Amino acid sequence: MTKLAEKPFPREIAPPSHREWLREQEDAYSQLETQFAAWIKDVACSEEIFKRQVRENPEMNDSDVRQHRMHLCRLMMAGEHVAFEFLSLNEEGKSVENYVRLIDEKVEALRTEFIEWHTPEGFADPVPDSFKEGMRDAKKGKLVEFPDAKA
Amino acid sequence: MPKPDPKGKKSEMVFRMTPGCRKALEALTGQQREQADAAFKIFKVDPFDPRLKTHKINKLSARYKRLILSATIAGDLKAAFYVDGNTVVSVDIGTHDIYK
Repeated sequence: MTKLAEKPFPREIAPPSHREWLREQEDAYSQLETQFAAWIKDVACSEEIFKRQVRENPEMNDSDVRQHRMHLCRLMMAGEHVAFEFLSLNEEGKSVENYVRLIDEKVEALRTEFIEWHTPEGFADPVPDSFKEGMRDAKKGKLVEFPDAKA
Repeated sequence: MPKPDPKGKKSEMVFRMTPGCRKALEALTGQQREQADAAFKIFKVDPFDPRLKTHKINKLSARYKRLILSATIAGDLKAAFYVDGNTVVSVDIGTHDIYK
């Protein structure tokens, strides 16, 4: 008979009653790696559903719109939570930057989608165009000297 | 979002502005330009001089993922800027609510 300790179930296929025990055996970093992988998979699955139910759905209704909003918020929150936990971990020798960068990229894409689809009517961006243009110029290194004071 | 620490580095600091910011500054006339020149004289010695009432703009700092600050140039006129290493970059000058 195979002993559980010698050949444990992978947590993903373990019976529900065993999952918490198996989770306890993992270190925090490994748990977050698992959560990260699950979140990435969730985002990819949601993308397919959004395409079918919202972006290319000729019968899209209010419920689809609400669910789109709901799942975008849920995915953003879950991603931010995993990123936050990675950053809080701060374990020596454990690199978290790549995970956090990937999460940030995906969250930004989700946020952009949320803004494009669900920005309230009449919303005016408080950031002046002159500031946005200035930041774009600065990013490109287009900077000039201060002018001389007027006499 | 590390807070810049210009203390002790004032003499090494480099001051630059975006073309749009310079255009806005040059468009000021009369008393406002005089006040702006006087304020920038202080700014180029120490952007955190209390007379400039320099403060963090939280909304812009969050959006641009870096510390964006506002300094009072004249009355409601503010300069929005950030510090990148030893370079102080003035991004915009205006009276927009978000700079207050």
